[in-house]
Amino acid sequence: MRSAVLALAVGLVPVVLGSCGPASSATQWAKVSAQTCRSTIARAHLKDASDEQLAPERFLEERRKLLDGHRGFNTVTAFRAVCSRIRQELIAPGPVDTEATVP
Amino acid sequence: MTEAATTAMLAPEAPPTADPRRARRLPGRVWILAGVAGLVTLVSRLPGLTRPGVLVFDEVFYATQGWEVSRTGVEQGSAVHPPLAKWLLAIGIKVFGFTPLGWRIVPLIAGVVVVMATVLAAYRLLDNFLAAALAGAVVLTDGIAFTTGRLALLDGIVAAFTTVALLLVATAVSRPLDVPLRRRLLIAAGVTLGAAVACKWSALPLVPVALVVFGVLAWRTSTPGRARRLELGRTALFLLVVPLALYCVTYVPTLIRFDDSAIGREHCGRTQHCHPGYPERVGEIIANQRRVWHFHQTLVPKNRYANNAVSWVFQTEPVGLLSSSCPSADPVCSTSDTPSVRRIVSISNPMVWFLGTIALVVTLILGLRYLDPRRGLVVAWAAMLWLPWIVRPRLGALPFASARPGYTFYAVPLVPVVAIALASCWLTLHGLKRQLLGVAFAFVLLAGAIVLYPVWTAQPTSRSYLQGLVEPHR
Repeated sequence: MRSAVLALAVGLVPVVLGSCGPASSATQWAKVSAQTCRSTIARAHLKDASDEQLAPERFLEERRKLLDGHRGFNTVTAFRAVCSRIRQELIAPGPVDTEATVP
Repeated sequence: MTEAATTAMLAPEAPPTADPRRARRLPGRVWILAGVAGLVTLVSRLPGLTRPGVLVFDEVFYATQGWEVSRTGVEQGSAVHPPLAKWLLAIGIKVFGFTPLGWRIVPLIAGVVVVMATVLAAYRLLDNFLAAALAGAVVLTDGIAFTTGRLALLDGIVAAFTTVALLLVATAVSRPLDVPLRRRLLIAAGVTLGAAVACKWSALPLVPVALVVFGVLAWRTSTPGRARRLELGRTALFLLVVPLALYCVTYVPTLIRFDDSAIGREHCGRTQHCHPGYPERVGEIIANQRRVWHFHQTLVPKNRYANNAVSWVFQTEPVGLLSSSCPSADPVCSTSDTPSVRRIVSISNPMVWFLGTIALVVTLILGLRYLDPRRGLVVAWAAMLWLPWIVRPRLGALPFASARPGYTFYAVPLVPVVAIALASCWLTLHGLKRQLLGVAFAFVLLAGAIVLYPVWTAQPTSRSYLQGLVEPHR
């Protein structure tokens, strides 16, 4: 019984973690995504994207759409979708390369 | 492998000392050594931890999922690994925010744990202070351990749990007649291995090794009949049921926050039944395990760094985690950069890994020759972490094994046993030869670390710097 209670308490750690204290904002995630996108664009030897093109709001909006869709999505979908669009805007065909190991 | 370990466990051992509690303690200087090794690890990996300030390689998955857990308690994007490592990443992100320090602090601490646990495990297995120091130095200067200890990848965290589990099993092997201690180690090993598997399935093959070791010890120290059956039952309980229970516990948040979780979202999108009851949630989580299994079975990595684990011996196909030409608009570059390239390559000193592989073979031979349980454990542990990645690409036609290759950084949990095997072989030398080769090997470790440090830490280097070494040979 004691073990079961302990196990449940352990299982609740992330729920408690997610509920208490200030959450790291989605804006911060969007800023990091924009910087990462700038990096992948530079590594592809394309011209630099403007700050408007890399606006964190674009990443936020894409993620919001995914979350509101109540469907499964890949963790990197929002990042890849926006970053690929920016690359297209820079007249660069081809999907964005994050060099990650899983699709 | 387990056969070797089983045979080895039947070897005679030293009788227990008068005061078992005193005898089971590690000497103070070994703890100091582990502390110093941990501190040096921290000091060598901390500078520049927050650079580059972008998501590197698979951080784009795992740091993001850690961030999702820190906000909601669950991964919202689909996940192909169990949640525990993401929980731990979430703690760092909760404390420091979604910043490079936030998503890299836990892997840094995990790397320190790996080095410290290696020193302690090496002392337990080799009973020699200098050999323990040597094993710690090997892990400390290993490029795969170094790079995964500074990035939000899962493998460094898995390695922390597997190395602590190795320490626990090694302690049991080194004190085979201490039954009360062994029972405590058994519980701790079950929890630690369960935690490792709950980070990544690749730790699963270690469970049978622990099961054989503790099973043989239980068999030997119990009288035939009911007592023996009880001991064996207890061993099976703690090494099979406890890891499984812990694994299940890591899905409790998914059960509670099902609608917001990746599994719940996939279920909702597929069935349009978006608010299922708890029995259906449990069924969906189980079904998800099957889908993840199928994913790993059928995954054909498109990434050019995927390789066969045989290449780990010579480090011929290291994984380039980042490569940026500077100066450019890339945030990885500094404004003061002269023409250069900044790289993060998960590569170890090839000479150390080559010698380490030989050391594992020698350890196997000596283990069989002397029926030595300690050597048997080292070889069995290494085999279970290495062989699956060698065998799997060759068994593509079989239903239980995919043709999926691995990546060099999957080898992090292997580094401590390679290090202990090297130290073990060094101990077989005597006199001046041992001293000279010890000094020479320390020089190889240090020189390798100095030469490779720029490509572990994204320092600016010329494009031709170590070109033949840090680029895959294909």
